[in-house]
Amino acid sequence: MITSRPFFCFILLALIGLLLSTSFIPFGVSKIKQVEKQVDVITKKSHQEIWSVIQNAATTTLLPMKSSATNLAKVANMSLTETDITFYDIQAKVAPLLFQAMVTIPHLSQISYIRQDGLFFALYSKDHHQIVAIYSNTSFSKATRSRFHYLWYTQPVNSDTGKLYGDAVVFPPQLLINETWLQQALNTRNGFASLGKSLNDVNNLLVLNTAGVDKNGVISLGFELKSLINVFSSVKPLGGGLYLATRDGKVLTEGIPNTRMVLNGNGTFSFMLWKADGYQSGSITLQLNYETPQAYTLDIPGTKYTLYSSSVDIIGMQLVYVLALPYEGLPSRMHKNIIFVFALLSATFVIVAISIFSFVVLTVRASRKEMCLRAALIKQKEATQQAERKSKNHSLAFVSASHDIRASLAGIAGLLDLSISNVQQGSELAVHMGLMQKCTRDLKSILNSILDTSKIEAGKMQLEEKQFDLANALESVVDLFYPVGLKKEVDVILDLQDGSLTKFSLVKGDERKFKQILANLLSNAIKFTSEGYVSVRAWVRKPRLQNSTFDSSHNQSRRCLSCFFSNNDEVHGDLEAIDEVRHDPNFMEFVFEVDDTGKGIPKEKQASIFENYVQVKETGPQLEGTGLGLGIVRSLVQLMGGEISIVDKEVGEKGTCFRFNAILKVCQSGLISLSEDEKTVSPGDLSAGSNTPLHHPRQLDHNSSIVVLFMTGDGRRKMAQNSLAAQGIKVVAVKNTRQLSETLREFRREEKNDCSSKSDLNLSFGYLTWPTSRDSNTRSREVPLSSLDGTDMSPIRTTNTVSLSNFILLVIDTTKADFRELCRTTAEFRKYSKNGNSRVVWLGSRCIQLQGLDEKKLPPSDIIIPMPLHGSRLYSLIGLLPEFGGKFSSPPNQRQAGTKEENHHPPSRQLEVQEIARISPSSSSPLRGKRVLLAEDDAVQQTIAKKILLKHGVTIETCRNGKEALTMVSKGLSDQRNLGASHILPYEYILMDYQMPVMDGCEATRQIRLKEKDYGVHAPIIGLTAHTEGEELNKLFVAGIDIHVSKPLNEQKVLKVIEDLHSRK
Amino acid sequence: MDTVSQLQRQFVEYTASLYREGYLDDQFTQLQKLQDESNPDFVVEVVSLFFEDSEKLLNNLTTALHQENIDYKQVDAHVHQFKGSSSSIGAQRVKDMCVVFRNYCDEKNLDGCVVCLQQAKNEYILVRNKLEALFNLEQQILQAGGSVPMMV
Repeated sequence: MITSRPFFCFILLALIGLLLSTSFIPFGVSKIKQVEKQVDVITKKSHQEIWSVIQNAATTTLLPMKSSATNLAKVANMSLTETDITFYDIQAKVAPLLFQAMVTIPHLSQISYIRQDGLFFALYSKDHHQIVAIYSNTSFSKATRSRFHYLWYTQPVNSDTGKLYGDAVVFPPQLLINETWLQQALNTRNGFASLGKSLNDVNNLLVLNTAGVDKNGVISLGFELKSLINVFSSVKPLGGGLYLATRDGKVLTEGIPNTRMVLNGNGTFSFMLWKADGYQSGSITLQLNYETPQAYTLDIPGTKYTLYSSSVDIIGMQLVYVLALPYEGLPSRMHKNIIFVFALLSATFVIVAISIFSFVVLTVRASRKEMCLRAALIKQKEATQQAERKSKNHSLAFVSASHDIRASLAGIAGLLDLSISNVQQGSELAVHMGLMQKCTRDLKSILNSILDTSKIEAGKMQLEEKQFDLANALESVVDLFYPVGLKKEVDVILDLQDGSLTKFSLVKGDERKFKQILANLLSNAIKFTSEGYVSVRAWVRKPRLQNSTFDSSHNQSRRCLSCFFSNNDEVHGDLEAIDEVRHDPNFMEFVFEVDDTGKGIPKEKQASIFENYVQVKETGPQLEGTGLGLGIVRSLVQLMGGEISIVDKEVGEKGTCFRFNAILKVCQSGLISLSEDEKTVSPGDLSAGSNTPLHHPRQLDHNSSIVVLFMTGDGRRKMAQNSLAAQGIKVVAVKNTRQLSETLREFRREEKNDCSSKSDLNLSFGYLTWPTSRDSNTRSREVPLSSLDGTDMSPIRTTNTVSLSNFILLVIDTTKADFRELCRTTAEFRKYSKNGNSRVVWLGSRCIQLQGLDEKKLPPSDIIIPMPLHGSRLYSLIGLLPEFGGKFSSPPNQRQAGTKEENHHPPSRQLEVQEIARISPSSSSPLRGKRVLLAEDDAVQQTIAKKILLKHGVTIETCRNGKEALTMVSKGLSDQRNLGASHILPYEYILMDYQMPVMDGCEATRQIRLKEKDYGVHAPIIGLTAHTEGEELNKLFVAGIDIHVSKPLNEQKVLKVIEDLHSRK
Repeated sequence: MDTVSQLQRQFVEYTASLYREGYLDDQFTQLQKLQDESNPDFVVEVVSLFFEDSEKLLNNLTTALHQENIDYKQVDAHVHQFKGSSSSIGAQRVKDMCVVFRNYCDEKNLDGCVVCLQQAKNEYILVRNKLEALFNLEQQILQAGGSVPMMV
C-alpha cells in the first residue's frame, strides 16, 4: 500500500510527460505543412523564373538579330544601283558590307549574297578566327556561254581589311537558287528565317535569316544554331531538361536523358521513352498547346516532371520549346525526410513508453517483494522476541525449580546419611544406601551443571573479580586430573610453552569459573581419550584488536554477556567496554589449549558441539553427562571476554584441540612487554616484582648444563624438552633405557676427552664439590641399590677432575620403566661420572616406595620429584642447574628463598617447595647431606647447634675442643688421601667456637689451615663467637676463618651464614 | 575442656609475662621452633642441660672466688661459658648479669664479682623456677589432653 502510492505518482508523471510530448506533434505537423507550402511556392516561383529567363533570353538577346538581315538588304539595295550587276560590282560594293556585318553582328558565322543568276559571294568564319570567302564570279548564263563550268572558289579574307588574299581554290558549287528558303526570301520584303546548312560543313546547322535585296538577289545571314541554343543552356534546370523544336517538327535539343520529344503537327507532343540500351520502351502522348505558355505534368517512370511549353521566335524563326522540370524536387524530398523524422520520433516515443512501463513493472515487483520480506522480518522478530521471553521465563522458572529440587535432594542426602549410620555395616541395605548416596551425588552434579546453564541463560551469572595466581590454578586443575588420567593410562600434561604465563600469572578474575572451564574441558578430553595424552597448553600474548567477531549465533551469548558485565541491557556499551579492555596495556590475553589424542570430533559436528544438550552420539553409550558441559564452558569463556573454538589439527594427528582465550587484568605494576622481560629481569632478582620463577642463565655460553630426560610418555617428554629448551638449556631426551645408557656412555666418552685438558680446575672448586656421603658407603653393604653405586671403589675417581663445562642433570621417569634396569644404568653412569658434576632426579608417582624407589637408599644428592612433572615442578627442576641460580651442589636454593622471601613468592612455588620438602624432608635445604664438624665445648650450645643442623639433614661430628677438631680434620684428610680423593673434603663446613678449653678456636683454625696446605684444599670454617666485632673476631679472621656467626645460634643464622658463604665466593 | 583452655590461657599469659619481664628472649622461641615430633622434649632437654651446666658453673665460680689467689682468667672463662649457655636458651637476665660479671672480672674487682655472682645465682634460680613452672603448666596441659599453644 505504502509503496504503491509513489508508484502511481510515477505512472502519472510518466503519462503526463507522454501526453505533453504528443500534444506537441500536431503543432509540429502544422508547422511542417506550412513549411512545405512555402517550399512549394518557392519551387513554383523558381520554375516560373526559369521559364521567364528563357523567354527573356529569347526575346531580349535574339530579337534584335531578327531585323539585321532586312536592314542589311536595304543597305545593299541602296549601294547596288545598277540593273546589271557584275561580279565586280558585288566585290566592290557588297563584299565590304558583308564583311562589316560579319564582323559586327554577334553569333553570325556565315553571311552570303546570292543572286538568281548564279553570282554568289559569301563569307564564313572558320573556327571563329579565320574568315573565308566563297564566291562565284560567273553567272549560269555566262558559264554556259563560255563553256566554262560554273565554279565556286574559296579564298581567305584578311580579317582586318576584308580584302581577299591568297590563291582562290575551287569549291564544289551548291545549287542554292532552288532552295525554298531562297525563293521565299525573294518573294517577301521582310526577310525570312529558316533552318539551313552551313556552306562549308553540311552537319553544322544554321539559322538562316534571309532578306531579298532586289528581285534577283538575297542576303542571307547564317547564325550558328549551337551558339543560339547555348543562350538557353545557361538556364538548364537541375534534374530537368529543355526541348527545342521547330514548328515543323524538327527537334533541335533533347532534354531529359533517354527520352525523345516528337512534335506532332496538330500542336501536340509525344515523348518517346528509351531504355538505357537504346531500345524504345514506350511513348507518352501529351496534348500540349504551345501557342500559349502552359504547364503540364509528365510521368516518366521513376520521376514526375512538370512541363512548361511555349513558342519562341528566334531571329524570325518560330520555335517550340518544352521545359521539363522535376515535379518532385525539393518539396517531395523534404516531405520524405519529414516523414522519416516522424517515424523516428514515434519510434522513440514507443521505446520510451515501453521502457517506462517495464521499469514501473519491475519496480512494482521489487517493492512488492521487499514488502513481503519486511513483513516476514517483522513477524520473525516478533517470534524471536516471544521465543526469547519464553526462554527467559523458562530459564527463570528453571532456576527456581532447580533450587527446589536441590533443597529436596539435600534432604534426601541428609536422610540417607542418617540412615546409613543407623544401618548395620556390610548389610545389603547399607550397600544399597551407598549406591543411593552415589546416585544422589551424581544427580546433584548434573543439577549443578543444569543450574549453571540456566543461570547463564537467565543472565544471573556474575563474575567474581579477585586476584589469583593463574599458573597455580592451572597447575592445580591439571594435577587434579592427573590421577584421573592415570587410571586410564592417559598422561595429563601441563605445557607452559615459553613460560610467558608465569610472568603474568598474578591476574584478576574469577578463579573458580576459570577452573570450572578448564576442568570441564579436561574431563571431557580425558573421557574421550583412551590412549596417549592430554596436554594443556597456555601462553600469554598481547590482546589482539578486534579479535572476536560476534556472529549471529552468538547473539544470545552476547546478551548474556551484557547481563554479566552490568545490569543494564545496553549491549553496545558493553561491547565497547570489552574493546576498551583490549586496548588497556594491563590486560593480557591468555590463551589455553586442551589437546587430546582421543578419537576427535567429526568436522560436521564441530559447529554444534558448543550448543547446549548436544553430545556427539557416536562416542558410545557408556559415556554419561547431560551434554551441557561445553555449552557452559563456552558461556563462561565468553563471560571472561574470550572465545572458544576447536583448533584444526594437522592431517594424521588424532584427537581434538580446544582453544580458548580470556582477557584478564594482570596484577603487576611493572608490566613489561614479553620480549623485553627476558632481558630486564636480573639473575639474582628471584622474586622481586616479577613472578619469574627462574634465574636466568648466568653463563649460558660457557659452562652450560645438559639435562638428560628419560621419559616414556611421548607428550610429556616433548613438552619437557621444549620447555627446557625454551630456557636455553641443552636437553637430550631419551625414550627407553637402551637409549639412556647409550647417551650416558656418550657423555662419559666426551668427559674423558675433556679431562686431559682441564685437570687443574679442581683445586679452586674443591670445597664446593658434592661428595658422596659417607653414610651411603656404610649403608652400601646392606642395600643392593647402593652397592651398584660403586662410589668408593671407583678407579676413575682417583684420577677424575672437575670440569664445570657439562653439568649433567639426569631426570628419570620411573613410572613406566623397569626400575631395576634404570638403577643399573644410573649407577653405571654415576660410577664413571665425575663427582658432583651430575645429579639425578627421580620422577615418581606419590607412592614411590611401591616401585622400589626408596629415598633412603639413594645417594643424598639425588632428588625425588613426584609426577607429574610440569609447571612449577619443572621450574624447580630447572632451578637445580648451576646456571639458573642453583648453587653448584648446594642444590635447592629455593628453600632459602622460600623462607626468606615467602611473602613475595607466588604461592605455587612455595607450595611446591613445601611439597618436595614433605616428601624428602631436608632435600630442599642447602645443608642436606653435608658433613659438618662442630667444635663446641658447651653442652647446651652444642645440643642446640646439633639440633639445628640435624634438622637440615646434616651429618654432624662433634668435638669439645680445638685439639679434637684438629685431630679429626687431619684424620679425615689423610683418610681421603688414602682413598685417593684428597681434594674431597672430610667436612664441608667446620663450625668453630672461639673459646674452648685445651685449644681455642683460633689456634685450631690456624692449625687446620696449615694442615690443609699439604693437601691443597680449603674447608670453609665458620667461626662462632658471642661478638659481632672486636679483637676476638679479628683474631679468628687472621687465623683463617671464612665467616662467622654470632651466638646464640639459631636456625636462621645458620642458614644465612651458609648462603652468605656461597654468595661471597 | 574448660580446664584445658583455662590452662592454655594461663600458659599463654605466663609465657607472655616471662617475655615481658625480660626473663626470656627470642632465642627461647627459636628453641621452641626447633622442637618437633621427632624430638618432642627438646626444649625441656636443653633447658635441663642448661640447669645442670649452670649449677656446675656456679659452683665452680663460687669456689674460684673463694680462693686465696683468684684466677680471674679462669673465672672469666666460666662466666663466658655461663653467658654463652644462658644466651643460647634465651635466659636474658642471666645473660645480662654475665656481661656485668665479665666487666668486673676484667677489672679484677672481687667485690663486684662476688655481688655479681650472687645476683647471677639469684637470676638463675628465678629463671629456673619460672621455666620449671612453665614446663609444669605444659605438662598439665598435655595431661589434660590439650596441646601446648605456640608462642609466636
